[in-house]
Amino acid sequence: MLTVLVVDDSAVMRRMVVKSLSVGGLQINQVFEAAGGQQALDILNAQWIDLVLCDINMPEMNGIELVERMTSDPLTAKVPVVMVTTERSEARISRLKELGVTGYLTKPFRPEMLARTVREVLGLEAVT
Amino acid sequence: MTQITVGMGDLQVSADPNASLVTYALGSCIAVVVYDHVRRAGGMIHYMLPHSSVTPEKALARPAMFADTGVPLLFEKMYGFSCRKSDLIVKVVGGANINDENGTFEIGRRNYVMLRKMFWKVGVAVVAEDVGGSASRTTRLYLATGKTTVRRSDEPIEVEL
Amino acid sequence: MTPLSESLLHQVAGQVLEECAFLFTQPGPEPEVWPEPVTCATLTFAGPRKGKVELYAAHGLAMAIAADMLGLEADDPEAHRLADNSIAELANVITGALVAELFGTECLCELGIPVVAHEAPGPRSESSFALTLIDLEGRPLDLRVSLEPSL
Repeated sequence: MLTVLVVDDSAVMRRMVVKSLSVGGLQINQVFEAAGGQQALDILNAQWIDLVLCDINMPEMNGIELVERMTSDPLTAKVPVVMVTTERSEARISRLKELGVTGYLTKPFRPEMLARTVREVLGLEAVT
Repeated sequence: MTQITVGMGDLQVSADPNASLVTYALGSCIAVVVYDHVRRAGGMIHYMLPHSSVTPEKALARPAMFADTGVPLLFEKMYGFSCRKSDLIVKVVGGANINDENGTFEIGRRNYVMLRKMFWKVGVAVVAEDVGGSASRTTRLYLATGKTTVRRSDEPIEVEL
Repeated sequence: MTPLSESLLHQVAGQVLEECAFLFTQPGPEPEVWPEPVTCATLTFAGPRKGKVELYAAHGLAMAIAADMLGLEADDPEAHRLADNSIAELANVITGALVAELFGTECLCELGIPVVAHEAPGPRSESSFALTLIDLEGRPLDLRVSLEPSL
């Protein structure tokens, strides 16, 4: 059972991500939602989170700054992150790899693809 | 082994471990294959069109012709074997870009997108699929194991999906 | 860099609308009158060239799109509440896919944040590319892309 944090400034996209996790067969215990980077950090500091699903392009603090802040804090540095984004730039993707982010999915995505990426990042067994 | 043939616009379910379900000549039509490993029961539909609203009287007589009337009926028949939705493995085959007899525009893709829309709404994931392209396909489900195979008209052999 | 064209817009937007909202569209005539309140989402981008994308949909279609994106019934109050947001998100996804086609993925392209307004599209200008897409029920979406002049 996972506790996940979904970070996206679009309410529609946050809902699509949450629904995709359950359609993809992942057992979700609790979902936290944040509309931006700072709100996400506040939640990460207050709650145990198993996985962060994060957009890049957000106002004020974007997803890359959020991951940079997470990796610089020992409390949040090890929380697995999956980026779910419209961003396809190779420079951004390699920066995220440097920061240790291994899950990356571009929108539009299918629920099965999101669930597969999450399973890979968390080392969970695939559905067959 | 008993072979149960699923005709065009038809659906079949079975829990006979000595049987296989097969459907032939999937062009723009789509086969949805469902299997429950717990109860060793499976089902298959071969639907032809996305929406029953085009001919409601046909949908009453042959609901499996259409995605919107046939696919829910397939799941309902599986629930008749006491299957749970969470145990059902779903695979999708067909939806090629072949004009049907009426030359209907992109019917294969529309068949496929309609299915994804229905599955998204009710929360069904597709574990494997072989869709699109221009080949005609035959698909088979072995009820003892849930093994599903596809043979494409442009390939010489049957491959596991 | 791939040149901007109506066929590229159709290819990119058509695929996004199909994947995100299960919506089939074909290019069609621009509506003479937009009958209802219209949602417009505008998004800027800044890569090798700067520009902006505008996506317009009548509120009824925006609600239907929100319902389908979220897997809800068409009359669900959530679909009504999130109608504008669904058009903003579609504009965002279309722009992300479009700039990758236009400029490739090797260069950095900053996307803006979608801004929503309620206004029907104005007259088309020669400096922007415009495309009307019509869904299977005859409902229009208007897409406009403009690029700032480059040296």
